[in-house]
Amino acid sequence: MEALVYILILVMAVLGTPIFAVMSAIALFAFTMADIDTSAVPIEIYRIAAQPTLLTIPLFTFAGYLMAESGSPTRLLRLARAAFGWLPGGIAIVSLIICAFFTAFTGASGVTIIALGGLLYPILRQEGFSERFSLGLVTTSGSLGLLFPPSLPIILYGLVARVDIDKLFLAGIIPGILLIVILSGWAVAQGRDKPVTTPLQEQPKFSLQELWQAARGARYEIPLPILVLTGIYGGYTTASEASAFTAAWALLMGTVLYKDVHPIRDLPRIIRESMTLVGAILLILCCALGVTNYLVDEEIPMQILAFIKQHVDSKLVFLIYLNIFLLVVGSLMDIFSAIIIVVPLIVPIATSFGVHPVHLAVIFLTNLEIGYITPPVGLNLFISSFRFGKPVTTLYRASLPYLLLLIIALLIITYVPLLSLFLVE
Amino acid sequence: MTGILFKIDRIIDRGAAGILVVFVLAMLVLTLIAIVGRWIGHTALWVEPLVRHLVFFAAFLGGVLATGKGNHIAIDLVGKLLEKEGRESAKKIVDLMVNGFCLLVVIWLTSAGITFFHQEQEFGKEVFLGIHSGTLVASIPIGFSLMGFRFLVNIVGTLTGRKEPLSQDEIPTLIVPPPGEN
Repeated sequence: MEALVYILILVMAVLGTPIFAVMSAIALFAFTMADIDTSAVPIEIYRIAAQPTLLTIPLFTFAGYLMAESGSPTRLLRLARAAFGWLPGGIAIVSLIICAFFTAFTGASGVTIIALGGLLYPILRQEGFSERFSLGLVTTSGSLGLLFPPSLPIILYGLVARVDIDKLFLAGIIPGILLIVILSGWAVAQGRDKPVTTPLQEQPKFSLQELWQAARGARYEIPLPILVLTGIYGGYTTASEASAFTAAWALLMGTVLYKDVHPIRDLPRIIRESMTLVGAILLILCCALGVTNYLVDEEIPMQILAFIKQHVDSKLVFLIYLNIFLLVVGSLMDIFSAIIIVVPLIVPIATSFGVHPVHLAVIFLTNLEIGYITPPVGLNLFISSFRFGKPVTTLYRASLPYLLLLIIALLIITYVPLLSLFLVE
Repeated sequence: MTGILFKIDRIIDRGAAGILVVFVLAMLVLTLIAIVGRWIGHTALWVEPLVRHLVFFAAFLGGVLATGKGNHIAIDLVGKLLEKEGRESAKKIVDLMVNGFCLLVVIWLTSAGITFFHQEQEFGKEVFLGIHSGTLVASIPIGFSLMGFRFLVNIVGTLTGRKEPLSQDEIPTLIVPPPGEN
C-alpha cells in the first residue's frame, strides 16, 4: 500500500505536477506513515526563515531581471565588441562573455536566451557565421555563467549543502573561465573558416576610440561585478548585503542614471516576474526540507552509500558514475529542483569517497549547466526552439559540438580539483 | 458562480503582485539602512529577522502568482510530448489530474499549517518588534489556502474552457515560453 502511494506520487511528478507539491506529498505521507504529526512539515518549511543568506535569492534575481529589461545588454554588447570583436571569431567570443555575465545575475532561468539571443543571433549571422554554429552558441550561452558569482544556483547549492557561499563564489571562477576559454577556442576556429562575402563580414579593426566610447556608454554597469566581488571578499559586506547593493545599483541605473526602466510602468512588472520565479524556487526549497530531514532520519543516503561501496571502490570510478548520473539528472530536471532533491543525497556519499565539498559543488553545477543543452529535454534547447522559430531537432544538431566541448571541460574540472580549490585554499 | 471565482482570483493575483512590490522595495531599503547604520555604529537588531520574514512571505506570494500563471517548476516530460502530438483532450485530462492533485496536497498542507499555527500560539515566542512567532507562521496556512483557491480556479477553468489551465510548457520558469512546433 505504502509503495503504491509513492508510485502514484512519482507518476504525478512525471505528469507535470509542480515539484513543491510532489515534495510536500512525499513529506506529508512519510510523516503520517511514521506516526509523526504532519505539522512537522510546516515546522520544516518555517525553518527557511532562519537562513541568513535567504535575502540574496530575491535581490540578485531582481537585479538580474532589471538589467535584462533595461538597455544594459546593448551597452555591454557594444563594450565587449569593441574589446574583443577584432579577434578571429571575436563576435562569438563577445557573445559568450556577455551571456555569461547575464546568466551569473539571472541564474540561467531562460532570461539570457530571451533577452540576449535576439540581439546576438542576427549579429552572428550577419558576420558570416553559419546558422548551425550561431544557434548552438546562443543556446549554449544561455547557461554559461552559472559558475560565476552571484549566480542563483550557487547560492541555492550553498543553502542546501550547507557549504559557505563565499567559498563557492570563488570556487566557480576558474572553472567558469575554463568553459569560456574552451568554447572561445572553438569560436576562433570557426571564425577563421567563415566566408567573407560582404563588407559586414570582414574582420573589424581594433579601435581605441570605440573602446573608450563603449566603456563610457557602459560606465555604470562596469563597476557592478567589481562591487559584488570586492564587497564580499574585501570583507566590507556579507553576500546578503552585496545583493542589496547590487539591486539598489541596478535600480538606480535603470530608473535614474540611464532612465530606461520606467518606475511606474516597468518596475512593478519586473518585480512581479522576478518574484514569481523566486517564489517557485523557494517553495520547493521549503517543502523539500521536510523530505530531506525524513531521508536523513531514515539514513537513506547511508544505505545508498553502502550499496555503492559494494560496486565502486575508487574515487576515480565514483566520479565517472557521478558525472553520468548528474548529466542524466540535468537533462531531465531543471537545475533548481535538481539541487534541492539530489544534493542532500549525494553530499554524504561523495564526502565518504574523499571528494571536497566545494569541488563537488563545482562538478555538480557544471553537470547541470551541460544538462541545459543535453537532448532530449534540456531546457535551453526548447527556449531557443521557441525564440528562433526552429525545430528542436535542429537545436539538437546545433548544440552537439558545444555539448562535446563542455563534456571535455567537465572531465578536466572533475579530475583537476585544483581548478576549483585554488582560489578557495 | 464561476464568474465570482474568477473575479476573486483576479483580486488575489493583483493583491499578491502589489504586496510583492512593497515587500521587495522594503527588503531593499531596510537592508541598505541597516548597512549604513552598522557603518555609523548603530545596529538595529530587528531589521535582519524582519527582512528574512519578508522573503519568507514573498516566497508564498510568488507561489500564489506562479499557481495562477502555471509557472511552478515541474518535470514536464508528458506535457511536452502530448503538446507535440497535438493530443489536446489527453493534455486536458493531465492538467485536471495535476491541478486536482495539487489542490489535495495544499489542503493537507493548510491543515498541517493550522495545527502548527496553534502550536506556535501556545508555545512560540516573540521574534522581533514584539511580533509573536504564532502570528508569523499564520502566513503558511494563509499562503497555501490562497494557492489552493487558485488550483481550484485552474480546474474550473479547464472544465469550462474559460481560463488557460496549468500549462505544461510554461512550467519551468515564468519567462520560458512554450516550445515552438516548427
